[in-house]
Amino acid sequence: MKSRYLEVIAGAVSLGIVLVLGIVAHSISSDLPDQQAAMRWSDNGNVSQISCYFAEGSQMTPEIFENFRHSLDSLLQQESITVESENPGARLWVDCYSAEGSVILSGSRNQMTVDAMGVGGDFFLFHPFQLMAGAYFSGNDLMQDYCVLDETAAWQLFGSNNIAGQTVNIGGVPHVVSGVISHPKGRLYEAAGLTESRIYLSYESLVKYGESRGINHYEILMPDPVDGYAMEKVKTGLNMHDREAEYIENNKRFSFQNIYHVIKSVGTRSMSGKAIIFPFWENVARGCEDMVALCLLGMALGLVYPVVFSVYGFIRWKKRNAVTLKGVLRRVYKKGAGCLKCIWARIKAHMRRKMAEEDMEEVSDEEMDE
Amino acid sequence: MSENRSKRKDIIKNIAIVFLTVLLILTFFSQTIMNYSLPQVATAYVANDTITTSIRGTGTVEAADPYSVIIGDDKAESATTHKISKIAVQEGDEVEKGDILFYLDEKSNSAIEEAQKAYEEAQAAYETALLSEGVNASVIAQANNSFDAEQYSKQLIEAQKEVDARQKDVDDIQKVIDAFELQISITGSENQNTGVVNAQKAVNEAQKVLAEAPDKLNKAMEAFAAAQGEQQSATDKLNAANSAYEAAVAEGKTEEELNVLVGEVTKAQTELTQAQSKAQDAQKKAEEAQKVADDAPAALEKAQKALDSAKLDQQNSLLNLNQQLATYQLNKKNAENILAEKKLILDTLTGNKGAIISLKDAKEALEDAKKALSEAKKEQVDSVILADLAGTITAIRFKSGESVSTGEEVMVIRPAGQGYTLSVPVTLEQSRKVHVGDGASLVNNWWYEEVKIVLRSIRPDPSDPARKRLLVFDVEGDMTEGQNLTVSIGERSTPYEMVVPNSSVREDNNGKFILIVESKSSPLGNRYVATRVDVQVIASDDTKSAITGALSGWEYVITTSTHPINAGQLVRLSENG
Repeated sequence: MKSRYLEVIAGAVSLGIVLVLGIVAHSISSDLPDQQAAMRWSDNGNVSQISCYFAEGSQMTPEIFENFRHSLDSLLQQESITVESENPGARLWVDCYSAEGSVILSGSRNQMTVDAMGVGGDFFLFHPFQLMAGAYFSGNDLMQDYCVLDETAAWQLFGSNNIAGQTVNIGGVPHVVSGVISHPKGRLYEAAGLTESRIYLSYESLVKYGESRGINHYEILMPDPVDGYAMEKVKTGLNMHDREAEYIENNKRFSFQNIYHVIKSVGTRSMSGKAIIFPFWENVARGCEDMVALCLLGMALGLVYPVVFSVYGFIRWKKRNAVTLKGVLRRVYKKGAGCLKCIWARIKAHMRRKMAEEDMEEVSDEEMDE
Repeated sequence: MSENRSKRKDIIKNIAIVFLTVLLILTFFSQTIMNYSLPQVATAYVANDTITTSIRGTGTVEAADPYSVIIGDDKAESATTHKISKIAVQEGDEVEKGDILFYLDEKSNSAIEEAQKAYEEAQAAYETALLSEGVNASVIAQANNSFDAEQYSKQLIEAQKEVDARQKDVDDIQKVIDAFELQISITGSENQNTGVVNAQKAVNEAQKVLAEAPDKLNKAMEAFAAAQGEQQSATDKLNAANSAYEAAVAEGKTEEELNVLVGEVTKAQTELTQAQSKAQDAQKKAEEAQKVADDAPAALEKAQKALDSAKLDQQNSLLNLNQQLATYQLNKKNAENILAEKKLILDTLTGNKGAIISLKDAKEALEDAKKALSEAKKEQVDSVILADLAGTITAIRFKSGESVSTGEEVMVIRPAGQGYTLSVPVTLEQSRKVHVGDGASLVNNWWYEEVKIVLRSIRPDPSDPARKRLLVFDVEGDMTEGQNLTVSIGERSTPYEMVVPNSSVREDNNGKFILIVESKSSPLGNRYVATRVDVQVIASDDTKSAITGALSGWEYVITTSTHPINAGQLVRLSENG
């Protein structure tokens, strides 16, 4: 008796572990807003977020992306993929690109060299960092002399977060602080390189007034009417050699298939044959992939005991009650036959009753006629 | 048994008490628990406000019309280098006209001496050419004028062409004269004048016809008589055949015999027909011969008259031809005179050519030598360079001891009274927001005093003329050339009814939207729900955006939140409002 209780408790604990690991995996995967742009953009699930990372020295320029945008517009129009919304400002796709570098900032208190990310397009739509003050800026704005500081840089330069609208000199040229953001914190983010102060400014300003290491990242949200459509169009449109670019479909990163591939690639996942340096959000996502893969592995192991226990219990019960397949079938047959007989008897009784009622009505009619 | 039952009841009672207690606690603190689990949002009013757009840009201040100080003549054919011994001014110094700017090492005059010697030699060669044979006033005049060998050759060619053309005229006139003379000889000859010859032939022919007419008439008449005779005999023959036939018929001859007689009748008819035809022909010929004989005298007379007329025409033609011949002979004489004149010109030009060329070469050599001498004199620069105008030294390109070539900019002076310009690159869209004449203000303007900046022009940016523009400003004030300025221009405030902070405008594939907070009352207190409202952004500046949408105004719009929010989600308001 006691051992049976222990078995049941062990099974429950295993299931509990599976549940907890599942919750943890879901929590990890849903806590990455950089990977959920597709969900924010469309509820229908027919949109894909594609991220492209280019090797060092690939010499990507904004003009290359401009040409790709025009060709994408023509392609979507040819394939009759159009905006379905009635809102006249609705867009079919959005994109952004970014380049890493560094700039020298001068504020009201002091001067410092910070890591910089020169961005173009709707960068903050893909990376909605938490805004402490102000607002994001976009590559579609009229003026491109805005910048967004992280709170560390804001405190060091101004001693405050509430500095939206202030000017900060970048390379001696005034730029308007449009907002202050707070980066996520944690072991993964620190390991991904998010330890220093950071500023986000337009790519043009980074090239003119700072040091740019070239555009290495490009992201796009676009329609994906069938699986793989968006990925194929982006690869064809950008036309980079396989060794010079890495393409990721972010919205499928934490799908069961992808995590299974991560598990399968243990041993080779750490190898890198491409000269690509990932930005911090991609490094964090890869770390989370590993963690979710571990959770999935743990869930699989956790399910082993309940499954084995259930199978064993079934076999034991079967032997105890001398349950055979033939016996089960015979019982099912008897039961079924009995049910059918019962149903047929009821139908017959109902028919008899109906006929009797009709006879009664005829007799009463005849009597009435007489 | 009853002990077990009471124990079980106690356990159940305890469990129920614990459960109810937990339920009560959770109910009392449900609002608090729920609030802490909801995302916290900051809000702002949708209110009427103004949108103030401005265009900002950075450029480098330049002097409006800088004056470059160079040494020597920058148009000299060959540049020479000079060493700067001392620079007497510094950047920023104000100089007046005539002030010393810098000193140069002295240069030798050997180049001038050589040029002087070459000039004197060329002078002597020219005088020798003037006194040489074949040089006359005309040659000198042509050599002194702007002589062009090519032009002279063209003149020679033209003169030759004229001579050829006049010779051709003379030859053409001669051909015409020859033709006239031939025509006169033909017309004057009775054997060659076609009209006379033909008329004479006609007379001879008429005479011949007259002479032969009677004989022919007689012959024709005789032939006609013979034909008549034949016709008569054929008629008699036919009559005989007919009589024989009739007689045979009357005699009742056999058919075969009758057929023979019929055959003879037929034959006689045929012969008669032929004789009749022959007689008719003979008659016609006789009548024609008669007509000819009758007309012959008149024809002869007519032909004789025609011959007289042709001879008269011949005389008239000869007279006309002789008159024309005289005219052409006169023309020929005139053409020969003109030809003689042109030949004289050609001979003169040909004769003068050599002399003109020699004299011209000598004159050009003299002028070249003169030019070289003046160039050599120009290249010699002064040892002290003075300021040509008053102004401020804005740039010094060289240091003392360095070498500088003639024509190279040594320093730049901003003339006194001139201002500065500032060129700011902007995008095409930004340039459309500003207008020429707009005033601009400096960003960080507390560093400068009394600076006035006005937009003077908008030009295409040479680096990207299709997509970029240059805003060119006039700048007045205390400035330094080369410093960077950031200006703000085009600040126009426009009021709008619905203005929200930029951070509240969001976007997805259905376009731009805002999330407003709507409150709903519930038994446990007010609940706040984020509700989506589709909007369009009609204007925006650095901090605010003007929107249109299904809003009545004064709604609470969500600006920021602690977690991502979807429409329809419950939220809690920030304690800071």
